[in-house]
Amino acid sequence: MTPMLTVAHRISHIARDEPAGTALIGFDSELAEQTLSWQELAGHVEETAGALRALPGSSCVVVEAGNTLPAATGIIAALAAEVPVFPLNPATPPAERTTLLRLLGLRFGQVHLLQPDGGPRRVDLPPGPRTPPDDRTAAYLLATGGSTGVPKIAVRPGPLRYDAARTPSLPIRQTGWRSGQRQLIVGPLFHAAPFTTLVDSVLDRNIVVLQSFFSPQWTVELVARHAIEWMQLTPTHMREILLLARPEPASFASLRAVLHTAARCDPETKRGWIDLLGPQRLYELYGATEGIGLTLARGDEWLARPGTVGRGFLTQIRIMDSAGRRVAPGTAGTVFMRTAQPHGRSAYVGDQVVRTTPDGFATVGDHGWLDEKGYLFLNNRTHDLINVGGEKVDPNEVEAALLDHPDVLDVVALGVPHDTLGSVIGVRVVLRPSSTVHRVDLAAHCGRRLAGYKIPKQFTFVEEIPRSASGKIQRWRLDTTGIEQN
Amino acid sequence: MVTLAEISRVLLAHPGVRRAEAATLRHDGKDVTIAAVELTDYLGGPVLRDYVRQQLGEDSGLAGVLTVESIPMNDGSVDVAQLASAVDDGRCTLFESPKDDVERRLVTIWSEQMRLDVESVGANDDFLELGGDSLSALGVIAAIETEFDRPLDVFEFMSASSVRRVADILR
Amino acid sequence: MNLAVEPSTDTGYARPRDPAEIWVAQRWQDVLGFGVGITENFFGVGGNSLDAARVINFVLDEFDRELPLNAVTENPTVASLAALVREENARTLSGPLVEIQGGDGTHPPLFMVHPASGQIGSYCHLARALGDEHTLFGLQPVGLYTDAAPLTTIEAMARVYLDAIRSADPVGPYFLGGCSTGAAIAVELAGLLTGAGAEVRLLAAIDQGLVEPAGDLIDSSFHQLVQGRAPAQVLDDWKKHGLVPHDENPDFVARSLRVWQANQDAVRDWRPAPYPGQLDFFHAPGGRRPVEWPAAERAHECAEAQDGTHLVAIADGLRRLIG
Repeated sequence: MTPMLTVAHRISHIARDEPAGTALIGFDSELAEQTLSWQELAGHVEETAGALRALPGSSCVVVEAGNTLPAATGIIAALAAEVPVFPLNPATPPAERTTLLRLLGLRFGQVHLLQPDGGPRRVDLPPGPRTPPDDRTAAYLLATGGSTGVPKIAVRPGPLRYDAARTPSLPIRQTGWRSGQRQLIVGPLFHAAPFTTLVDSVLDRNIVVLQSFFSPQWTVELVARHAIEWMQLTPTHMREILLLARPEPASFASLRAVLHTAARCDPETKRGWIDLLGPQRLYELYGATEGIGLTLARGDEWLARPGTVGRGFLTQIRIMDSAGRRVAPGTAGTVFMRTAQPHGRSAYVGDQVVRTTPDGFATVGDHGWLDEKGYLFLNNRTHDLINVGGEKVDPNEVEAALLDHPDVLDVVALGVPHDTLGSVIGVRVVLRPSSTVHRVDLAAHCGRRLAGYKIPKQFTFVEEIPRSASGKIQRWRLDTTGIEQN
Repeated sequence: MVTLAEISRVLLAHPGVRRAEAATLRHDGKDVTIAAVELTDYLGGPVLRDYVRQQLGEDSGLAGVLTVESIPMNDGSVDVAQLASAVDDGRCTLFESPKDDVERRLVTIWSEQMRLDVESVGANDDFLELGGDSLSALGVIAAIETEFDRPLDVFEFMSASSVRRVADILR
Repeated sequence: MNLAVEPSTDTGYARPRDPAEIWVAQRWQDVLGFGVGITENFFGVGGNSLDAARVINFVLDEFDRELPLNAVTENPTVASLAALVREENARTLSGPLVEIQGGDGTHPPLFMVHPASGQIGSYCHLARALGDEHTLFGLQPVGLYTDAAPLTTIEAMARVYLDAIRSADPVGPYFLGGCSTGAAIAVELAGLLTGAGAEVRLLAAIDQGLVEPAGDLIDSSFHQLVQGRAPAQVLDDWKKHGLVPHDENPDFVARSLRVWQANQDAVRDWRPAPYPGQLDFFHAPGGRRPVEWPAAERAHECAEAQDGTHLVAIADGLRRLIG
């Protein structure tokens, strides 16, 4: 068994081995490049960790997680101090921010916000009923979208230890990741994948370039300028880079691999990236819920079997019919997966309802089929949630936000096809008869209540919305020319 | 001679087991003893079978453990016919010793990498149900590649998943 | 979901104050799909990184200016972003024709001529009231954003504006309008167009007070300037009332005064030819200023709406006439 180090020890070991080596590269608000050496990073981390260790035992710390050096340093410091850390989207609307902080307050005795100067400041929370205080057994916490639109927090048990064999996880290692590599982090640090990638990268001695906001041209520039070897993208990133930046394969010569997850990737985008990188440098990973299983497909496997999400990686897959019987290859059914339970199993149930069989197979409800060689194919399901560039949006939440406006009598939210995001939110709104409200007012109203991608991009004013006697919206009655069926 | 009641009792004493019923049934023209269990926590059938072997010795006679949502009953006692059909369907793995040299070498590798007694590893037992994890999987694969001097794909290993089926690949 | 929602910080619609802000607001409308004021936060109303990139591309295409990639993130309001291209007011945005609202092409364009002050920003309120689908152009005077001398006769202005209108709409039929000086110029334009064989389907004269909330303030500003009040003080007033951007300097006041005086003189010296068509006159209920129009007049009384303005009524009337 390889020895396991604390995060603090691991950082100081790396800093001792290569003090002048580059650990992190970030950009300030003028887009000037800033570099932190391992020695500098270790120094900042120790300083902040010192302040965090002094906090009472039931504390957690919130970091405003823009893709900046201070945010990354703060996150690492919290892990080094073994204080549970929550990366917060800096653009969280006030109402949702309050809810998230209160949720944290229910679990932890004290919630602290990490200040720009590196010190923690306690957040004032109203007293109220609390679950029994937890000790510091959480490494980090992440906000999940939740299928009801109510913000939820998923917990990764801790404290975090550096285990060379599991940092990063084995499936990630299969995708061309190398210790000490140059990596670009594009997605926001308050999302699970970029966050866990940052942690793994720092612990695995990567040189991490933090792209502070997404611009497709900038991503291409950064890959070329910093000779990036590995990065993770969402299909939306991939589409926008292809369409807006129109990169040459030469820009990506340094990349050993690109991994994409989070949402289904359309075939055109997939082929475009296979053309750019060559089929063997593109990997797709399906199966986000830890402890259930995942599949991995390399580009050449996808070309041979277009649409596959790959074979189970250390994961067994079983397709079952509605009676719970196993079906033969080629027949569709519910996708069940079983994987090994790594030690230190995460309580990462997230927001999905998981059904389990007695012999340990679990499903999140996806449908699909296996071919003779064990390659999995997923079927699109009619689903209530609208997928906006990889983010799931509950139409109920958007409708509720708009109904909160005094001039809105009725509203229905739908998915509207979009070139790069897949879908965006469109709303049909019935206004009060004498209303003079404008679209921008409704958009701003939504913006004060909802995260950016949930704000409708199309407002149509209508006379009425068809509803049944019981009040349910009759979506099948809506004139849906140009609208996605949900 | 170990009784069915003793087998059930031993299983019930295991922390993850909520209910256990042992029964003898007919399979492939022979009498086999299996136990059906309801669990509070996920455990592999072979793990529980082996637990019984360690408690009661090699002669316990328990060939396999079937994990179910609820034990099929008929008139107040275990529905043996349902259990028999589960065994026939392959839903309950029966212990088998390795039948040839290839299988024996594989059993040795599995037991070493997974820190199990050689007697714990049946030829049909599923790797995950025996308690294998990602690290031991890689260890097993690496050891097989060395021992048999040929590459073995992670995906191949996982879909084969038992000593017998891996042996088929290797032969 | 029962979140404690903070009280609304809606500052209300703030209209663009110069051609740069009008242009930027229009590009935002292109990407967002609806009209915005100059204080709305781009991302707070649903704009995303792709939309922001499109805005930056627009600036590159139009002005050959490469803004930094985070320009919209760092300047997320029309007001702050327009400050980055403000010099275009004098360079490329000083021409007579200004697109105030692009519309979606389903309605014929409305051309509104500037009032005495020369400020077409007032017509942004009107565009908003008409609705995002409508197309509206403003005609602005020479000499407001450059040091060129203002035109001095209604006839000269009409000829220059005619060229501009025909470049945007070579065929017609034409929908024209204006307030104060602009109404007179619009009458002149209608005559020129009709004389050239084109069809004028709408000639609208709108009482300035109904369109520009600060109309009285602007008028009295000019009178005060004539009486010797310091331009810097007038500038302060204008800034306070959202009529000019915060980085505007007193030169603008001086140029505005020259334009205003030229317009006043032009109206005084105007000898209109009778216009054969109809003029639609929009005025407040009750009192109306006596004006002798050289045309058959149809009056529209515009009542105040729930929002405290007359714009809804004017817009309703105009929409019926525009079709």
